[in-house]
Amino acid sequence: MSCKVVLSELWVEREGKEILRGVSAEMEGGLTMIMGPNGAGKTSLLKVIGGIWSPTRGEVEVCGRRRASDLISFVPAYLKVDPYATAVDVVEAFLFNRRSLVESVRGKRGKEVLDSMGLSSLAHRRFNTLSGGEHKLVMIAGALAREPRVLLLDEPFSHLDLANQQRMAKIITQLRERMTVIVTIHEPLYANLADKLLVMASGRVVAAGRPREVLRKELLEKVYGVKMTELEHNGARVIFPDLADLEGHPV
Amino acid sequence: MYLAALLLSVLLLFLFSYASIALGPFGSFSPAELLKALQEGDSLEGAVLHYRLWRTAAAIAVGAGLAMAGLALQRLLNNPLVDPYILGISSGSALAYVITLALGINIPVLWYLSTFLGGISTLALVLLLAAALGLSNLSLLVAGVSLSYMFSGVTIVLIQLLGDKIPMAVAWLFGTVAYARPDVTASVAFLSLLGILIILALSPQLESLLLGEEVSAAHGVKVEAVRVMVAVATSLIVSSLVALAGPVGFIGLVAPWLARFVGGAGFYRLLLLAPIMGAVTALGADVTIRLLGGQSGAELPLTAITSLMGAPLLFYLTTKAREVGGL
Repeated sequence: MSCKVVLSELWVEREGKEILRGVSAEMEGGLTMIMGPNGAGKTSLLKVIGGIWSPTRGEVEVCGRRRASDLISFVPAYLKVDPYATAVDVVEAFLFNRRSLVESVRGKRGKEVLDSMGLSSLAHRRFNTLSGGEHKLVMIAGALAREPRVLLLDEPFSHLDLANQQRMAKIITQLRERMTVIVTIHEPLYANLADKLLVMASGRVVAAGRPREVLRKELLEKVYGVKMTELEHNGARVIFPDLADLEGHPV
Repeated sequence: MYLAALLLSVLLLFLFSYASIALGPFGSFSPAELLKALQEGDSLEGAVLHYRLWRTAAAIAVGAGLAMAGLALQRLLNNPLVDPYILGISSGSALAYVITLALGINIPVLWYLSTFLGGISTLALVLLLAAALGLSNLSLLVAGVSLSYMFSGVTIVLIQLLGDKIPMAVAWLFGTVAYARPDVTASVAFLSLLGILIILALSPQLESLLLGEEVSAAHGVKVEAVRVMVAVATSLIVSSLVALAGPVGFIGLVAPWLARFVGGAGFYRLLLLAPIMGAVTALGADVTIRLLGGQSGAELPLTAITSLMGAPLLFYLTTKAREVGGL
């Protein structure tokens, strides 16, 4: 079940630097994607929504509440854990306050969760030795087992090959039916999948709306500071950096 | 594998406990002689056994307590290289204890209070120093070891003021349960148990911290509060054990590592396996030094044995950084 996330005039200052500067947005159900260049404040915004950071000013309301950690699952872009931890241990850690003491001691829930997600083969492998794609699948399995109403995914497409990116896109688009999904992304291609797209630059939301309204070559050129090429394919707008713009490039 | 390791550890614990009570200078006893001597009470054998029983209890408390403290600190700091000895809690507690002795204070409550304050303030100082160096596995190690050496230096200087207590104090400084008094052992076991209970109560939060502080915070763990509680619990355990047996090295590193190596990183499994392995390590080391000492009664300190296990492990963990998550 999804719920509403309301951000009102969020300001975040850390170590004397303004990281978020007056971000306001509403997300109710569906899939919201946050894109923008490095340092734009995407992950910071996700951390504030997740309650990891407190805003210096402004308010976050998740499902009508100020504190809603029991309704949230957070999946980081990258996770390095205890070298002896297996995929099961990682899933169990997501479930730390979601099961009885007896279940905690028995430690069987983690395996059941991975089995139900078709990830049985990864269960007893050491988490740090898994591939980028497996890493993310295990973390998402753990996050979903918490049965969240709001799922926060930081850069779910990073460190994935093209086939795994496609698999991730499928998972994310399916999840939006069941909960409010908020993800940060770098890839303009996958931004087309969003119900709502926020484009950020220098700690502000510079454009928000449906991807077709927001994904504009001119906007991305301005935000990223590089020349872009725009193509239409199967109803999706594909925008990518213009290779011909590279100095000395043979194209 | 986990169950086998658990069973083996329990078996070793019983075996070493028996060896610790039955073997040593002033006579070795068969099980039947043991029972007889215990019933007789005030014979010489009875007195020897009484002493060995308390010594065994002290070694078990030291091992289990240090293992729990090491486990909690490693999980809290997400760093497999730390333990109470390396982080300076032991040497801070030891310094505080020697200060109270040098001041001629002979009130056990004040010993425990001062060692606790010494331990927890050293931990706070090490964390602050490491943060100033940019908090990392390496900076924690450097800050901990540096402060540890500094405090040990001051402790050695102060020990010179203790007059006729110097030989005993020197033996204590390198870790020993040879002087474990029953009353001190009982109160230290109680204080350690208190610390262990705090860690047990924090188990869900410590389990979540496998995923790091940020994910845990998003899922509702009050990370700052957990940090303070773990600092209090580990300082309580380690400082009281220091008052009993001196700063015993490396058990807090070796036991949790061994437990993780054979049983994986599931926190609830470690909660059972690590302290038993710690107790086995401490007890094994104590029996070894008594057997090495032979009938002379001259004994090596505990840290001599535990360092032989712990220092190579620290080296291994540090150099095998990528595989084992070291520096």
